Amino acid sequence: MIRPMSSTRRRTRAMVVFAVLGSMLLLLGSCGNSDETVGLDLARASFRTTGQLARSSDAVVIADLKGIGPTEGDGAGLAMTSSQAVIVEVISQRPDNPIFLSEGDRISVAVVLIDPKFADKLVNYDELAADFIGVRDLAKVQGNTEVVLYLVARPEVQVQNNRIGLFEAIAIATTEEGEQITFDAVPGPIDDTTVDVSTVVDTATTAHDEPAPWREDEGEPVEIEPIPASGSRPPLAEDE
Amino acid sequence: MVAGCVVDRTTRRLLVAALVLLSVTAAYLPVSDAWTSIGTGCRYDPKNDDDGLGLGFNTGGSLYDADERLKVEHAASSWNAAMVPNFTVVTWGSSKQDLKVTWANLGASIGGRLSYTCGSNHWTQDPTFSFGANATYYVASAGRRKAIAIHELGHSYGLHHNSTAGCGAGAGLMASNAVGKYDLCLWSGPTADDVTGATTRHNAGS
Repeated sequence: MIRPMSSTRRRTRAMVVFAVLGSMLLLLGSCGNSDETVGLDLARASFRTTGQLARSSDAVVIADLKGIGPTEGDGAGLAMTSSQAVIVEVISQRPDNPIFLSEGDRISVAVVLIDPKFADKLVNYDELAADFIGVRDLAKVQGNTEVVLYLVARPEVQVQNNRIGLFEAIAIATTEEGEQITFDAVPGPIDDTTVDVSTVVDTATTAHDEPAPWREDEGEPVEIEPIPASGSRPPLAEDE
Repeated sequence: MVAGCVVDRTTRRLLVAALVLLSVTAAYLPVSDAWTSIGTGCRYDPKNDDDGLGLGFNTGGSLYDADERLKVEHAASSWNAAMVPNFTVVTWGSSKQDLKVTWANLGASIGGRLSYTCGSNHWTQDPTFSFGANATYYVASAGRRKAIAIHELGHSYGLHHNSTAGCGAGAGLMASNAVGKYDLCLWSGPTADDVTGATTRHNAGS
């Protein structure tokens, strides 16, 4: 007759089975897997409102976007794509915009995005791409010849040795029926949302009344008091 | 069994015993949100503990900014005040370098980027922390830049992202949006949860 197993014996047996299975996994992990993975972490703005976009830009324009140009990767996970656009209407721009914009101007527009060539290389590519401008976002605006662009002047960046009129678009939206726009290419939660044009105009004209805070002369380098190190630990110092 | 991996009987028994011990111990360990959310779990090589974690600054590039370097050093000091191993500044490219700090054109909305390669939980080559040279209003203030540096240095200890909302217990600058968290909480250094996570990772050994 087979006697039923006591609960103590069942627990002991379960632990042994668990331990054996676990040790097999440990052996597999320690002996067989020496693969390297490549990862990327970005500290970046994550836009939630039109006000944040306006404060972070030099100008907001309606433009005729002449398609999306080729993408050039920087070799470390980011890429820049450049296109040509013709200004249809300037909604607002800062008084110190380095490249003053007028209706009819033809400008180069760059967009920084996650490099699609890293899709198979970065272990966390999907996580990054979910909340950042990607190729699929740009595909949404590809067929629209009239878009709303939040622009930052980037006179220092060269495209084929040409420094004239280069802007970076931090957000691209397409126009909808009924005086509304939909954000199609923006890093952050505001992406894929629809807002009234009047909101875009109000927030942009208010923010662009002032010069860009990031171009203000800060004078002496900004000093931040370091948090005092505790007695037993040495302060940060050159050791070589 | 994996080809080429020969394990004797004694080793197998030791592994089983260690696993049982780990299973029991794990149930009683305190949980810190900063480190339980680790994805890759990649971090510095623990054999470098004795000489600290070396920060090498690329001072030769055209985008180098001494003021930004100060922000990184202050961020490192705030970690040093809270825990060991300490960060130290080393010569760019020296053998003691564990994290490379440089400057790059990253775009108007990106304040920093950390690129790393991982193998068996540790960096297999020095990771690179690049400060963005073109950040606009959203990531250009001094406090926000320091918060970015604290966040990226936190990854050196093996921390991944903290998803705790608000500024209370369990929250930290290891949030995926360190800039937004700084704006909300105005922290000038790593939080208790950041430090608990980093210390736990350090004490866990290799």
